[in-house]
Amino acid sequence: MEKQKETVVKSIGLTKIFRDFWGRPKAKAVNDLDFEVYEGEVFGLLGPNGSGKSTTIKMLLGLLYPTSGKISVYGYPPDDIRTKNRIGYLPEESYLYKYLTAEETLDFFGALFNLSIAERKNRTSQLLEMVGLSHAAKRQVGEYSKGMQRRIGLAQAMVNDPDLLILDEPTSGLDPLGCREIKDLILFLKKRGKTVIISSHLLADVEDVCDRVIILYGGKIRANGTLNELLTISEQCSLKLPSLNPNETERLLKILRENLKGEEFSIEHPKRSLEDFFLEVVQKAKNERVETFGAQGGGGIADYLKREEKDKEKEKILEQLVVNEEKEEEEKKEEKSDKILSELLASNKKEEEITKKKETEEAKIALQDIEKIDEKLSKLLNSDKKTE
Amino acid sequence: MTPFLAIAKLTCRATMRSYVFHFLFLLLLAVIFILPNTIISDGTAKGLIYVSLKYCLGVSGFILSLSTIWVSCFTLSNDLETYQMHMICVKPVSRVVIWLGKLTGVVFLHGVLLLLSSIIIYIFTIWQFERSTFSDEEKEKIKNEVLVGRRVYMPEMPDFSKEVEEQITKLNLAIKEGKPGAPDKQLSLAEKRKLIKEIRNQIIAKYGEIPFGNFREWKYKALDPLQKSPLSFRYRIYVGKVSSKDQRQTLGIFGAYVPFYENEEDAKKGKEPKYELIPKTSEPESFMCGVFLEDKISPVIIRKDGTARIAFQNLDPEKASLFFQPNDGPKLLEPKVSFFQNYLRAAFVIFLRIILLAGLGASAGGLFSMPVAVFIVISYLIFGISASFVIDIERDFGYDEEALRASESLWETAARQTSHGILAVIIPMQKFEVSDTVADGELIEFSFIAKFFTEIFLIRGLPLFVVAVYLYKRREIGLIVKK
Repeated sequence: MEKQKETVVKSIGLTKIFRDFWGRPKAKAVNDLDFEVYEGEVFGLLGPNGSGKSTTIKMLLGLLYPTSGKISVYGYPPDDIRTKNRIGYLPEESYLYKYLTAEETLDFFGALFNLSIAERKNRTSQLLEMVGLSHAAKRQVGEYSKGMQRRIGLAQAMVNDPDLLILDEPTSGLDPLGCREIKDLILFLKKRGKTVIISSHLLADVEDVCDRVIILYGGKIRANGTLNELLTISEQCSLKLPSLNPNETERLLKILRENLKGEEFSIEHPKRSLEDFFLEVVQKAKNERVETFGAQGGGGIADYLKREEKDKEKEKILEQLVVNEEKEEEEKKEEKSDKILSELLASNKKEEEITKKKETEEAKIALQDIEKIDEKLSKLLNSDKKTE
Repeated sequence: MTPFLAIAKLTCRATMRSYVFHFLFLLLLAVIFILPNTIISDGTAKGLIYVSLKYCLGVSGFILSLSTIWVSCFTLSNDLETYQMHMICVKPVSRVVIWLGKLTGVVFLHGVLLLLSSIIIYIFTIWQFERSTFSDEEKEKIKNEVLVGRRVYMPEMPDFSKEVEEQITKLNLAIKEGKPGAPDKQLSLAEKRKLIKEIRNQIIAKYGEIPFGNFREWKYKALDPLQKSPLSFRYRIYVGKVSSKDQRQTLGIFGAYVPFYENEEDAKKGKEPKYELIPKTSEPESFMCGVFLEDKISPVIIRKDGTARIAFQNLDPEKASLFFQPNDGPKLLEPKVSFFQNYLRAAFVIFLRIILLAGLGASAGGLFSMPVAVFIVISYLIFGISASFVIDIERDFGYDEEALRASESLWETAARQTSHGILAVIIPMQKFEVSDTVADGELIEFSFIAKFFTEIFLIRGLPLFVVAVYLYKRREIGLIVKK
């Protein structure tokens, strides 16, 4: 039976009204918001400017108090210290102390989590490696480019190995390489059972990583669900085919035109994304060892963040060892039957190879047959219409 | 503790990067190293040490106070306005810890600066005293009057309200009896108030005045009867009027009540001696008017009950009246501690002042933007100065509440009550300026430090800080608009 997932964030009737100097209501930024975020989920908070995303996140972090309604994180109010211990937050912009170096910044934020000096040192070097800023560890954050500042911002959000990571526009200001790394990181965290809340305008990024999203407009939820539920267009379908020569394409178009009768359709070559192409170029440059003073590609996930995963792997190995012993005897019994099976499979493979060869030779003939069948079908369809 | 220390450390670093702090630090260095070498005193050896000590300690304390106000306001409000506070507040650190960490950082940094500047000023003062080619007499004078910590005794003040009451009774009687010169009808309440005020002013003015040929006697209480070392008598005489202008030399004789026994047997039996007023000199002494002067007096004038009496006769060559201001005393000074101990106490009082100012600054900085916070703290201190000025007038002249109520108008009552009200909440920081006291060789009493700590720090400061921290804790940081 599947284990029931813990509710990480619970918002009931969450409302925030901003007031003017005299206490008169000025704007209703968030209006009666109900939503839940579950453990291990990547949750997207989407909406245009002024839709209430930032206000919701600020209430989630205890920086704003709800006018009415309730929001809880791990069952506690957002400003509870117990909650904050489990949260990592990357703001929209880097609000870091510009005179501190990257190392000092991470050390400072580590100290706020009461980490020991040794632990802070260890995590700092791993995080800097992870975000690709090891070479700039001694430089002041104020000297960093925007992208580098985002990276150090991300590193500080990860310093406590948070259970809940709140990312406000995580990829803004980052190069595609950084974007990909952040997305990889989010997916990695998800794999580790961590919860991630993302607020973003870059829908492609959200689409790549989010399990579930809510779309806000005017402080209210306008859409809520998994990406599959929200994005699947059940009225349309797409086909993926190997590359066709012009004649084949023409024939296929003809069939489609005749059958779809005026409905719009298109055939084109699929394109890889610009992001993929960019990453390919950068990887090439890296392989050629071109020098750069900016952020370098991250050195992979920090070791201390992998701890749980390693533990899980160890557990798996131990479990396997125990199971293996039990299975050994069964396997011996099955060995004989396996041999027989493998012999059978080998003979099958040979047969398949022969048939493949035949198929390639027969492919052209098959196409011609298809054409014939098509013709027959179209004739039949025409005759059916006439009879009708 | 780690988060608290991290915040305090970061505050120190942020402070050291502030341009205003750089400017004030340079100013502090200038005060410590340049000011003592450029000061022009009254030409005497004592004047030189006195002035350099007074100004160096006073001005450096003032600069440190200014810097404390600025930095404490800046450290919180700037972090809030640049959203750096967002980053700290989302971490598992309570806002109380953040506030205290910021305060500690400011106090620590200024404490270190105070320590360094105090050490330098002390070393410089002693070095100046040792290296200068002062005569032995001058050196002795400096030792006795500046480089020492002496307990101050003020003379007993007469009951002015009683005198005022007597005068009013006499006046009422004169009206009743219809004596010539007396008003022909009973006085209205407003007229009575006005009259009481005039009479009171006249009495006070008269109290300080010694007409030509007259004596004035001052009684001192609570002196140490076991005192062995000589006492100092500190006074300032004005001739003609109480003003710094038109002052000149005058003549007069000081005297004191000295014990004597009519026969030796009484002395042997340990009987209470009789006291006789003995003039200090057989000829009238010459005094410069308008400046403070000091004389030595033998401790024999102290009676067993700890009282002592000193007298003065006006022998002005131009037969003008001489004046002794009630504020000036004259003071009787009793050596109690060394200069170092007294100086240490002064530095401690300045440190307490820095803590208070840092608390005020952090309180305002956590709630308001930078300029508003600084404005509020400065206004607060100015309110303290003006309110205590109103209160001081009554206290200095020994007014009592009852007499005041009878004499003042409604507006005056309102002003006085408002001042009392303000002072119940506001801290009169100028009351704790100690550079004058140290330079005068007057003891900074533990009772003074205790009063500062309890009345000012605990009773007035702490509740204010608690309220400010509570409001800061409840503040919606997310509402702040980024700079």
